Amino acid sequence: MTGILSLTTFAPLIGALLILAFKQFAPKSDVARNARWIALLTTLVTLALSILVVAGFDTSQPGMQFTENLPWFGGVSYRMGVDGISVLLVLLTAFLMPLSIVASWAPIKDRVAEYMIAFLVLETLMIGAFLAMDLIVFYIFFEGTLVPMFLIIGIWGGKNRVYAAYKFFLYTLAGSVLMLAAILTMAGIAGTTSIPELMAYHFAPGVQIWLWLAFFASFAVKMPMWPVHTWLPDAHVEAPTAGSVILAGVLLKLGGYGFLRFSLPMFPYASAYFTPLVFALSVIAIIYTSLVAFRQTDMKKLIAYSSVAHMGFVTMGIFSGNIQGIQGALFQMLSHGVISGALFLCVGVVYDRMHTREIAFYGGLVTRMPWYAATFLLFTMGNVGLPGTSGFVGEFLTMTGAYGVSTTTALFAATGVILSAVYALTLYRRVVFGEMVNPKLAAITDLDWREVATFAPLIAGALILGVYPHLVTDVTASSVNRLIDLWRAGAPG
Amino acid sequence: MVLSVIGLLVAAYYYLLHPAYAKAIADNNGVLYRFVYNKWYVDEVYQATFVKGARALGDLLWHTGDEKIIDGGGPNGVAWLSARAGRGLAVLQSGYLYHYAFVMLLGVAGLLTYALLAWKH
Repeated sequence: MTGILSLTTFAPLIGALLILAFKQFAPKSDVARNARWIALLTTLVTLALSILVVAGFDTSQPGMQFTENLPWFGGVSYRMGVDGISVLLVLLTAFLMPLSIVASWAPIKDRVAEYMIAFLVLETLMIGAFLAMDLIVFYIFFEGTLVPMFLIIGIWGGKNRVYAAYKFFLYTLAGSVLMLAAILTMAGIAGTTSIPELMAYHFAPGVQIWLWLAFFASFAVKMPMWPVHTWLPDAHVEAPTAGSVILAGVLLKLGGYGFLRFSLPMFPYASAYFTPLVFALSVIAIIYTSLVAFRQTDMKKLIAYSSVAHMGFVTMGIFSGNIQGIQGALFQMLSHGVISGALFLCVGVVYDRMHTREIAFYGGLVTRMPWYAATFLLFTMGNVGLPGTSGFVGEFLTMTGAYGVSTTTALFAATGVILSAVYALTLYRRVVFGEMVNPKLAAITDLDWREVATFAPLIAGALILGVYPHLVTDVTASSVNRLIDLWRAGAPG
Repeated sequence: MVLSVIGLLVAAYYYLLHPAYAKAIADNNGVLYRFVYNKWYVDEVYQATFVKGARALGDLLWHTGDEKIIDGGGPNGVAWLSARAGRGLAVLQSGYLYHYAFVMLLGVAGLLTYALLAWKH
């Protein structure tokens, strides 16, 4: 199946070109309808392709599979490959995209064709970033994701969209430019930009420290880690619902993926050296942003802050450097992709009806919207980490992993679990329970069939992963084990 | 064990054998009665410490931490500085050739001074 990775990566781009062609040549009145249907079909085809990749994936192999290699320029090659760390992230991306398209079906009315093109281009870039096995190719995909997201926030966003779009773009770009400098340094020292070769290359400890910091600047902003997280709440609040879903569901995961793909295997000495720093920042993120989330008056901002707290568990797990920690971090990334995506969709449901995200505006929705209340409750519980939902497995594994390295870190992280129950349940109580006092809510309607179709796969995902986590851990195990071997071999002591 | 049996006996004495005594105590509304009646004020104590504390801390971290320190010093601060620097430097762009020539002359003089000092060693 050579070539399937490139096909999966560029299938959405073909869809985007099709939309463009239809926009040029089909009747004007059909442009929006054509764009919606082409986008949905393209994302479904991409999902089918990514399922083929997962089906054909050999879980006993720790290395790269389905590799492709085409010389490009000056030693840089177009290299693609997939291993246990990236394969499920690709699936997550392909899984969330059709849902995002369906969620945008009615709410997006202006410039529909351009909107769909932006999403499809974004999908190509995200999948490409997960599959690229050359530093330069990775950098192009990784940085490229900024452009469509900048447009999605800046054009289809809320009132303060331009400020949020600029903040998002400049914040992440500032971090990534340092990474570009590090990439050039690595190419100069090692004489190659191939990621598998660089994993085997041993950089001197002094060099590792600087390279690690440069990569950290980029991934910490992307993740986002405290204190470089302030772009995220603004971006989420202004982004359209589907933009938030993809931002929280996939784009944040590029940061965690970067740590696993670059920082740990290529700079093991520096990763071990900086572990206390990462632990401290993770714990601060978990407690600090949970407390801030508790005080939010905007539903989306609350969930955005909760995302920062949950990403704290991911960074903590990654830098535990043991099997539970890293498996847990990967699991938490996938689980958060499903659950936070679903929570943003839950906000989208009421926002589409009432055009406000103020928590105080709502209350007593359970009387008018029982199905919505049940759905929202399930994902609230997933966010809190209730056993039986996927959120529990990720939090439990990352804390177990951290406990093996630093008891204090695990202790503080456990406090964060309580705080997440505090803000998530407060949000749910104030929006769904209580008396319905606002007369504007009297005619609010329950989920329609399109919304049910969007939520159903997410509900299934959150429950199946929560009950049977082996689906994930079996796929990731051998690649994670090899990663730990690389870390142990290069770390001091 | 002993304590709970004593409690059982006391409760039985007041509520089963002499309900009038229990009513008298309640009507009297003494300090001890109110304390026990309000569940040792546990809810109130929690409200005052944990709930209010978490709210205050959350507000502090949000408004002072995120908005003032991180955003104010980070992105918004840098944006403000760039705008200020841009306005300041824009004044220099007067359009008069002799202004530019003068600045170039200053540069040449500076470079010459540096070169002379460097060559001396």
